[in-house]
Amino acid sequence: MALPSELMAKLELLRVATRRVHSGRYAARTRSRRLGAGIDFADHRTYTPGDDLKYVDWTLYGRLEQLMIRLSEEETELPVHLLVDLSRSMEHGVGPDSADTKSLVARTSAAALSYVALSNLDQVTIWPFAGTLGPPLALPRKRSSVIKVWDHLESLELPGGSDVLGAAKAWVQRPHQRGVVVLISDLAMEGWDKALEMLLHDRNDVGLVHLQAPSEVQLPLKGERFDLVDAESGEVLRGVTRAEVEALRAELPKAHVELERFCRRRGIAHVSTVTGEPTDLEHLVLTLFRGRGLLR
Amino acid sequence: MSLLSTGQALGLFAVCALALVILFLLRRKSKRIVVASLVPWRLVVKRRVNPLWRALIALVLQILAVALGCWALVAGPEAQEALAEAPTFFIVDTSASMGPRLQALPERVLGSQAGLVAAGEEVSLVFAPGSSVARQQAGLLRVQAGQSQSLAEAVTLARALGAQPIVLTDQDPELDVAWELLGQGVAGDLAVLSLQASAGPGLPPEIQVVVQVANNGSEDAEIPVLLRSSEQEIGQSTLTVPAGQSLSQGFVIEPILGTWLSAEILVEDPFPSNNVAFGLLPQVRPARVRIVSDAPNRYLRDAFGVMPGVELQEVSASRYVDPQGSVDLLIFDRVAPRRLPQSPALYIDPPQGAGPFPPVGVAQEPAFTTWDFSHPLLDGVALRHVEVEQLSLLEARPGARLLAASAEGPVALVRDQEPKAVVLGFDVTRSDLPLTVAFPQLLYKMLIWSRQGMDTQVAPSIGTDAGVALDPGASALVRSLTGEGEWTARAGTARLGGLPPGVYTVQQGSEQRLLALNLPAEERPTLGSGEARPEVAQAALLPRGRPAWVWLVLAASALLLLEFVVAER
Repeated sequence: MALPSELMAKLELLRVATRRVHSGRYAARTRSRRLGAGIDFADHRTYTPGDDLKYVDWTLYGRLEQLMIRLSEEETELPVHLLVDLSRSMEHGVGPDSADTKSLVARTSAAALSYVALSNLDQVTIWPFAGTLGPPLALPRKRSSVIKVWDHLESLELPGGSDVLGAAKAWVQRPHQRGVVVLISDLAMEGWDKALEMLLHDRNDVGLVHLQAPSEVQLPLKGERFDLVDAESGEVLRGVTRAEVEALRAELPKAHVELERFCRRRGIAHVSTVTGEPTDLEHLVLTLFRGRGLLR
Repeated sequence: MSLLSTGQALGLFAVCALALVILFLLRRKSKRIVVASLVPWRLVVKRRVNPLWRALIALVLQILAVALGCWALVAGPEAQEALAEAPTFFIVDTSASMGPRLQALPERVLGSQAGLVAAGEEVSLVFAPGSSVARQQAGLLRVQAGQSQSLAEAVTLARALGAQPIVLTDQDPELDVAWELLGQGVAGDLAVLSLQASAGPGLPPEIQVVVQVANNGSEDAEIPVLLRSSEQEIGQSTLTVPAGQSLSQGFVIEPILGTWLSAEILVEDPFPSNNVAFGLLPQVRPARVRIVSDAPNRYLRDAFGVMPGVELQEVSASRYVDPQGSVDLLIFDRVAPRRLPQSPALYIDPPQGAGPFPPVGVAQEPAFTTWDFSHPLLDGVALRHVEVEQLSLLEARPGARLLAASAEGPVALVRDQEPKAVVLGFDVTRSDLPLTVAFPQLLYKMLIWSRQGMDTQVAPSIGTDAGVALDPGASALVRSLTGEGEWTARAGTARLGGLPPGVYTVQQGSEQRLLALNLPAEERPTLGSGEARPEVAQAALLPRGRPAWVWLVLAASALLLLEFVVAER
């Protein structure tokens, strides 16, 4: 599935938002911590033999008769890491025939974010995870690479389960450049809060795309008693009564507020969406991602 | 109508209980649903409080409610069957007010299979259930109205015997028992409510009789009432009494022979025992007049001589003795006693300084200027033109009322309080008063005035006494003069009750007295005014309070409410 060309044109005008200044390897369009070739003046330093003479500030030499090298802020690539949840719970949507499953929206979101980053020559790495952290996909810095995102995420078969905390741990332990980390998940697991804090602790700008299916928000269950089957583990919770369904339904808005508060306190760009509600991808990316500080 | 038999109810219960169990099992069968994650569900289920136990309790409550409902369907009919099968005891209230109603008792109980208990001063078994008619008739003869203080005990006794009691009474017994108004709804009851006889003050002697007759029927009635004494028939009068009302009729009769009086209704009605009332005849004697004078006064003698029923005595002043109330009128003609008598007295021209209102002066050839014709003594007496030769002016002492006065002062005074006294301040022989018709008129009025309140013996009226009060210190023999029988009361008995209306002599030791007894007015039955009301009797037969099935339905509803609270839905 390819992104619409009109949307891609609009995405090329956006950038992945970051609060921190990160340093990439290659020159690009994102301000970095490095001093060197660039446009914006940063500092002077004494000339040492071997320095490129083109960086000598001859105006200053005329005044002070000292050779000084002009330093500028170097613009490099921004490391963008997309942690995409590929667990079975992400296949849960409004129904078995629905195309708006959470994994579809997750893949689309990952592709859109990747396209924005690639348009700015940023370094994009896709990190799929389920029970464990899957093989990463480092995209070449060209816009056409975005097609690989879709292919990679669709073709992967990860072990069952959903362990976002384990994935976060594994990701932190792997060699990587600090940058922007966006977690795209339905958070249908325990330990998501610790995972987010771990990503923050690694001095990354963290974003969260929280995906929910309409059936999870509205709980349109009919009947008196239910045996609930976990989509990921296959575990069965027997004898859930209608009263318990109603109790959970009453608690869902409260849980959403708690998540919102958690992200705001930690400076996490949080986007929460219900699959199938605004099916418009343009609305998701241009309105929600920009409005919640994931893109700018 | 029987809704369900016991077997049918058990079958219904089994079907319903089975259906409940199947539904319970079906409800326990859960729908399998795949959810994204069990994490939020586990948080909710963690707060679950033993749901299986709650479901089982709800199931038990449902089955219990169904059981109670099935029970309710058979409880009513079963109770009625039990009512029909259990031996029935009629408990008859034998209070005094039941007197006339007891006449309806044989019709109610004769020939039935029920037993009869009389709730009198003590509970007594009249006849057992299943008794023969002869035995029932013999037992009914012993049932008489009197005191009833043991109605509750009789009901308790009947229930203890496993019987179904039905109280036959004339009012709500206020007990949790079936009851029936005995004699209710029989039309046309007539009754003599009261009979009063008193001696009148007039001359010739007379007896005033007042009869009060009630018509408890639904239509106006012409009621013939026979008045008779113990010796002779006095007369008969027909009274027209509107429906549901009573009428008092007064009669004045001459003194007759006999000791007691009765008023009897001569038409038959359902309760003849209240058709007669008894009273004692008052003592009637001639009017006694005593003239005290030292000089014969033929005017006085002649005037009293023509009056019927007057016993005249003449004594001189020297032989005068205070009669101590044994005479109706004392006349002091130109004399006065040293001590004023207690009897009513007329003082004619008393000596100076004597009498209740002593003369204090003299007026020659006076003229009367004032007469008080509003006083009963002078009412209708033509005294306006009386001529007198000489008048004594009287001293008006406290209590005196002026009857006549001249220009010089009062000449005739009266004291209406006891001892009554009239003082005329002139000598009738020296006036033209004896020559006028006013003179006997004045004397007659004076005699009536003096007899007011005397010799008036009122017979015991209906309602004053329902029994005979006795001296507990001695045994008594109570004998009916009207043929009801004879009773002996042992020493220590203060009151003999339950006697039928009539005239009785009561002999205790050497003392013998006469009394008339009637139905007590305050306990007289208020009989229904006409149409029979079988629905009332039928309703009264039903047990009081809510039937069992109502309580069972309420209990089942309460169980269902509890189940609604307990069950998780």
